[in-house]
Amino acid sequence: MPDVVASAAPRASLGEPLLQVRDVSKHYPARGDALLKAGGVVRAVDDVSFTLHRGETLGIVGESGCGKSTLARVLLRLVEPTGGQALFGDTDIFQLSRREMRRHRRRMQIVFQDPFASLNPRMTVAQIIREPWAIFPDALPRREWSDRIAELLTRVGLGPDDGHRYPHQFSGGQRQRIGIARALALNPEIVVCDEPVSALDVSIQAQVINLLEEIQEEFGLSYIFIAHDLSVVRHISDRVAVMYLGKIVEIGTWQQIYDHPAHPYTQALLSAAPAIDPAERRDRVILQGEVPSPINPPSGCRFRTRCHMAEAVCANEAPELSGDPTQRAVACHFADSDRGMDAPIQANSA
Amino acid sequence: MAMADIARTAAVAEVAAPVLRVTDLQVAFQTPHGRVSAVNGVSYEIRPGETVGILGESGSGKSVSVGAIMGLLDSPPAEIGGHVYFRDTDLLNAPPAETRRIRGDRVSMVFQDAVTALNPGLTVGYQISEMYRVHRPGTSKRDALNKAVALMDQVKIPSARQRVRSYPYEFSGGMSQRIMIAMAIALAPDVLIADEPTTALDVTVQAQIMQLLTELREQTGMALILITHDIGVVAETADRVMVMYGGRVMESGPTAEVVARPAHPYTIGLMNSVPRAEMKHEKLRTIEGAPPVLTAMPSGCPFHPRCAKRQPECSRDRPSLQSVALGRESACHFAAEVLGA
Repeated sequence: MPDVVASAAPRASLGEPLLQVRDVSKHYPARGDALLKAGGVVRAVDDVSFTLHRGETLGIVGESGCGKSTLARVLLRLVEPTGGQALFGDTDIFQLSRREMRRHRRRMQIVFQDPFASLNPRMTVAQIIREPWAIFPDALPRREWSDRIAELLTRVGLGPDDGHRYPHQFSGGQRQRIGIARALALNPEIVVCDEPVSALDVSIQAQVINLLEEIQEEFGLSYIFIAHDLSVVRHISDRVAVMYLGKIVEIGTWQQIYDHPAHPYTQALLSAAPAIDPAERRDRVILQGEVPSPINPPSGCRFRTRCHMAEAVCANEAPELSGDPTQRAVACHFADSDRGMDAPIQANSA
Repeated sequence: MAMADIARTAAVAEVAAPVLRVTDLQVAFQTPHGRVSAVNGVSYEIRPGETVGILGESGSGKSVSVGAIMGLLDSPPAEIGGHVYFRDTDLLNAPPAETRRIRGDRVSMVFQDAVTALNPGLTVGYQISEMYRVHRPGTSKRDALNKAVALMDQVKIPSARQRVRSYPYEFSGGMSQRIMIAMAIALAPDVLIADEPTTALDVTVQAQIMQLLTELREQTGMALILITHDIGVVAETADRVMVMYGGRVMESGPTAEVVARPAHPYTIGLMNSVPRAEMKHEKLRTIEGAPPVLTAMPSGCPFHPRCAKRQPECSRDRPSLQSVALGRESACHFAAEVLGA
């Protein structure tokens, strides 16, 4: 049944490092809970490191509260980080002044989850798309604006004249296309996609995924693609990072993560996803309980309270993300003794 | 695996009479934009111990159709037609005193958003035991509360005895859904309707809840109607599936067979929209366009504007649901071809 329609060429190899994220943290003071003593801290993102290479898609998966959306916002400094570095070339994004950061945002854009909340209802589509050009006067000469708007709208699958209409006149999928056109307006190098298809109907999701893949090729984009849907992430990602309670527990190529998951949480997460095809079903590992509160995460390994492999060492010692975090790494005391790490480590075996 | 599923369905079908029979269900609404038809001629039956999945995207009519069964639609604006037989009682036409004894008692429901479905001002124990106080007058307060604890144990809420006096905000999303399920199974219903019971939940919690529902169905022999947009959930849980689009049934049949060999282009499109491992590096074959809005339903087959196989007659004649194989139906002029492909 799955006959090939169009075969996107598998990527030959990893490009140069474009964004190097080192030990990034975002802690919030815990407020509003009478039971908490003063000084409680929500460790939404805790010492996260990875490298995004030019032209690649890094998928970030995890369940609610794992910190994946906070991470996206920190990287764009929509919220300020608590610590760490994000090196774009030689520049640490986190050290930029407000003015410098504004300029830098041209190179990094974001597509949000909710296409109903992320477009200003009182602006026409054309106004939404050209707003970045008004902010960056050198981006595009004013006389070229209307042509470029029509071009962008056409590229994302809308009509060239749709610029005159307002967001409420479009469906959810069309609005997400408008959000994508806006993100493309400044020719960014990195686009952070924060759950870009999860608010859409299944049949519309696939259209938007195809669109994102097409424009990645055309515009030479690198994606940080955040989602909870494991099959969507597998489809679009070159490499995948799995987050749990603010930490990356495992990172690797999509084959390594999906075919040879080494962390018990990755294994459980993958096994929990329902599959249409009986052949794709894995032996289900039903995790006990739910994700603990990030205010007082478990000592040692944060996953240990739900892990079937947990031993005394897991409570005492937090496992390091061992391995090369630009390639394949796992944060588990027992990753080696189980399975997975013996799998071939080839970053570019696609 | 597939053969076992089919065998199980067949075995269930032989032993028991349907507990719920829906025939030609129609739901329309009077709106400022005119009369819109949300559900059109939906018919199915479900037997004890069986799981029927109703699969569809937004606007397909899947939730409205069970709203009509449960009496949750205000009329007006809703206009409801057809029949819903629980055993011999027609829930749509019997006197209210009679339907009240069935709805919420013999046929109960679990909603998508448990956190908003629970009353935030009452303890969960009170809300569960309310089932007995309302439907089983004469149950003592203590007895009802003890039963609530037993139910919380049954849906695997840890330390139920202590937590029975907790308020909904003290529970996570997954635990709140367990409370909802406890309420729904309190009176040992014959039919449980679960409307997107795991859509708001994380995937590891979804697996827990689906496992719980399946276990409860096996233990009690209740019938389960599972409404979802997730074809994976249906494929893993439902004995039979009904695919809805634009208020109509596009295809129905044993799940394993429908998934292995769909008989309607819409089902094929839905399945192709979910990225599978072997489709990596391929473009996803999408369904063009968007689901129809109820106020502008296409003529003929409601799916024809998006269908890859459409022919001129598809916009003229609406295909009726026809048998295409044993236990299978499809509403497509070209069902035989689609099935054979």
